Amino acid sequence: VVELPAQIDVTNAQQVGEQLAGALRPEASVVIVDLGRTTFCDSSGVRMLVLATRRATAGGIRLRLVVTSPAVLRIFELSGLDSLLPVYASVGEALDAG
Amino acid sequence: VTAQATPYSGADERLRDIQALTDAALSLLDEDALLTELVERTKEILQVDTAAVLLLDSRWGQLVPAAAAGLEEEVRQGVRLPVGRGFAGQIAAERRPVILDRVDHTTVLNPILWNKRIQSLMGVPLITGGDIIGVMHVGSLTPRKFTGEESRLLQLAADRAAAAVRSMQSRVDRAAVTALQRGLLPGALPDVPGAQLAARYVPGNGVVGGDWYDVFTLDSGELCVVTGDVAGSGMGAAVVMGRMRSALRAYALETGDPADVLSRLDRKMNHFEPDALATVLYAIIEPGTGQARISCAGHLPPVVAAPGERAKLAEVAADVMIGVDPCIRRQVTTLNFAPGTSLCFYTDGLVERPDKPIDDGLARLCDVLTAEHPEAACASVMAALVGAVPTRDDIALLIARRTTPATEGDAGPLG
Repeated sequence: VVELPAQIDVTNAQQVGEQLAGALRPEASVVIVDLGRTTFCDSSGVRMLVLATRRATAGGIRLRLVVTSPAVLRIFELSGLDSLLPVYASVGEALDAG
Repeated sequence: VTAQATPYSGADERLRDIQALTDAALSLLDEDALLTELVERTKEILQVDTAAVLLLDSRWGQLVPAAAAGLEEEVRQGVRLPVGRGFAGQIAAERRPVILDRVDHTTVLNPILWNKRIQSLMGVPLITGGDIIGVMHVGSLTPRKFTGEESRLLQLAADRAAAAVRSMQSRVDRAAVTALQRGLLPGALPDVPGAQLAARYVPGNGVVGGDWYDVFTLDSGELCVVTGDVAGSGMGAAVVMGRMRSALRAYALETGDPADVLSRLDRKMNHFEPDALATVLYAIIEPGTGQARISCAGHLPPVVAAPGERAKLAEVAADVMIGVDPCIRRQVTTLNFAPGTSLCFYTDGLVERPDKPIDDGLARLCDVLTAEHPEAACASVMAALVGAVPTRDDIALLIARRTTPATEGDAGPLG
């Protein structure tokens, strides 16, 4: 489980990208990206998640998102990210998804 | 032999010479002229027989000679030297000065240097802002022991050269990207029966990025509109943008299905530019019937303004951006527009502001966009959303209006 910051924008997108890359260890099969605390994410944040998805897919790792903020859900919907990755309301649900 | 006979000037004097050298060089505008001046003067000041500057081509991890004095063949023959191996390669890899008292094929990779019968070499890295951007070296045709003090002087010249080269490269890069952008955006919007068009492109705060718009017509009379945003900025993003733009145009001639066009573009990008990531929206519009077929790769949806109504976001199925998974099934959304309705296409720089949810920016756009003439609508939108404040991101905006008999002759505010 990787927990992302409350605010993701151009000022910290690079760090978020590194945080995600660090979580994609070869032995992992599922990585849960916890955006439960995140209330703001801009297009640079979306790009980092898309890059992480591309890397995860190449490494045979599945990503799951945990999102609670409507604003974050909205940008994921507009960017089509929600069509690419499953979105859950809590880490528990994401874990239970098997 | 002559080098030994000439008395060296004092260290302070040589230091001043080096400082004067780069200040004068900085005022020259052309990179070749700057570097040529630099190596000539370095050769004189250090009283050596050869001097050369090699710049790093980071895509290949190779050093490319950019200027040389007493060693012009190095530049003329287009040698490329790998970072990490050989004399110059070692300096670049270890980012420290190297002095060679003996030059032969075991210490020096570049045959030009030993064919030239250079006996001793001294080289230093060009570093600016923590990045290695090249190597500068001097050589002697007679055996010579370069001293630590001479190495420090050469490093000083190299430091100033690095700063000058970097500032020049970023100037040149910016100018080239701007020229490239300008060359790639449509010079004049096409004349389309049944539709009126207007567009804006504004580069971001000093940085030109990978945003673009494109408009063209098909033989069928359909109007095609593209907006896209390549991740990243500068030359790299602009070049990828140019390739995507022409690839999309080529696929547009082959298939009338916008989802198919984007899928082909995705496969092409995945194969040839696997690191690229971009959002693209592609719309095929029939001005006669008002039908638009839209496929959207992670791009913000168009805003629709019907006459006398508040503008709203078009409901367009959003697929993920180009560059993630070339195998995904892309969707097409078909929308119908009454005569007089405007469609507004844009990139996220128009509506995204720090700390503000995207819906705020989209709501503002819906507030100001009306079905007025596209030229006037572009002006209203830019005035309300951008004003006089420079934005970080670049902005592309294109508005297309379906004409009615009443608006047919309306040439807009500029007409």
